[in-house]
Amino acid sequence: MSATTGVRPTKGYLMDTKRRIQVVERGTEFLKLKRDQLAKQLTESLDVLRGRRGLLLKSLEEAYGALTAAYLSLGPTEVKSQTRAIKTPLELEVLPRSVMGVVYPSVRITKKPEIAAELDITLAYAAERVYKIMEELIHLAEFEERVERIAEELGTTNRKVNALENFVIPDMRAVIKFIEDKLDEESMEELVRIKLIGGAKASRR
Amino acid sequence: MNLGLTYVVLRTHARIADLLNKDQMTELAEAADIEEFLERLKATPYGEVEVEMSDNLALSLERVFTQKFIERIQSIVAMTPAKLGDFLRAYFDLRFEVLNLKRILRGKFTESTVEQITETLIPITPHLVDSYEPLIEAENLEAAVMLLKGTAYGSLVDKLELYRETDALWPLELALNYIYASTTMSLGNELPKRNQHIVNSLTKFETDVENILVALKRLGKTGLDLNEVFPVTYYVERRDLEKVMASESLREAVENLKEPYRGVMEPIKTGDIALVRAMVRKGKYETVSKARASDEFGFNVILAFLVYSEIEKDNLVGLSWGEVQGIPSEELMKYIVIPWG
Repeated sequence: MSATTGVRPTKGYLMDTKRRIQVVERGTEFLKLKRDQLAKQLTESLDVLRGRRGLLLKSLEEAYGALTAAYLSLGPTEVKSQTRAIKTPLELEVLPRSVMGVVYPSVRITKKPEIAAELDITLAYAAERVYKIMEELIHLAEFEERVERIAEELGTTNRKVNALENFVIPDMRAVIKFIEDKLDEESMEELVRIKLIGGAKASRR
Repeated sequence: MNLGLTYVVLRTHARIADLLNKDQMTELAEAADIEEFLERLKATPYGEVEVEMSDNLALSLERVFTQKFIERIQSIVAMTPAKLGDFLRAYFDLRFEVLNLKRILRGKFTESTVEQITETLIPITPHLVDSYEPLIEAENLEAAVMLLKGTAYGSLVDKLELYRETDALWPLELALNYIYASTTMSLGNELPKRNQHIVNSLTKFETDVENILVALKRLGKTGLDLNEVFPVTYYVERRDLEKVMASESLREAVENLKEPYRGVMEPIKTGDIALVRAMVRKGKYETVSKARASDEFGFNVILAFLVYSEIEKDNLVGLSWGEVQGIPSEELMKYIVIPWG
């Protein structure tokens, strides 16, 4: 279906369309700015994410090594018994946060697990490493979710900008051109008609 | 010379030769999986080990090795002249009992079930308490501690206030460490003079090491009641431990220690904290070996053998756990101490 189908070629409609195209073009500019900003954020976030994942892998290796060593040194029963002395569980609070209108969950640790027993130094060291990983994992999960949502928003914004630039604005321009042509044609016809009437009136005299 | 003791010492020398050497340990560590590990174990003095292949295989194997160790103690005690035998039984029973009490208290602290607590206990006959059941079944931790009133562990009741204040188990655990050290020392004092040295050296070494580890964990903490945290000290005094806690880093803390403790704690400097336990075992081995060397035909040989056996038990527990987890042999061997190998 053509963009001009059903268009009323009136001056009022032309003015209305011109006003609308101005709004749409400004909106498109804003969306482009948002898209560029989101793209920048995404690129930066991906770099950070890559770095954090690398660090997490290193921490995981360290924690796994420390835990393995604790098991090898103390035996599974003693490890099991000592870990029972960790009374308070990890407590988290999840709150919504927003970046450029993109809402993502922000996680805050409200209560850390408390090691209440006289843990063996090997196990205490392993426990510290494991807790550090839990913290890193929580922050990484938060960051990944943020990146994912930014990427989704970037995709949506990009589609909107493309649709506006490639379809909506050209269609509106076509409508404007169509109305202007129509109005020019009408005014030309009107002029010719006036001229003809004027000529006829003059010959009658 | 006591002929009975000479007989036991000679039998013990033969048993020391039966302990697993480095090649046997390496062979066990290099087993592809736990089935192969058990197959290889058959060729050692441990023989065939029957365990159920379940999720708790490592725990079952630990129980088997602990049981074998207890049987070793019992067989040695049965042959040893009364006074020395009584000491050995009391020494190891006390070690296990203190460990059992710690495990019961940890279980009560986190409200674990009776079954959960029971499965972690070492299967020994209670030594200085009548039974573990009432403690396990006590309503809560405080009720369990109150049941210890009137026993050798009665001083734990006085630590309840600090336990309530801190809502932490460490005051009770440190009090148990104190009871273990002081009771062992007084047990050792009942031995003939020439045998007291090995017991004293071993107990003092163990206590000092544990105190240093407690201090290292409290690095940077000030304002602590040192008498509360270190109820008993020997060669490493409270002021030394205070210096350890005041150090700016673990490395500095270790460097300020005197030998042999600096050597034992050396792995901490490279970040391999877990290797400290292996070094502690090595330190215990060296302590008893030195004492054994001074009297190759006396009681020291028997105690040394039991300490070696305990280290072997710990090694096998670690190895079997590692095999169940599929950990490479190089990694496993790192934490194994086979000093006689």
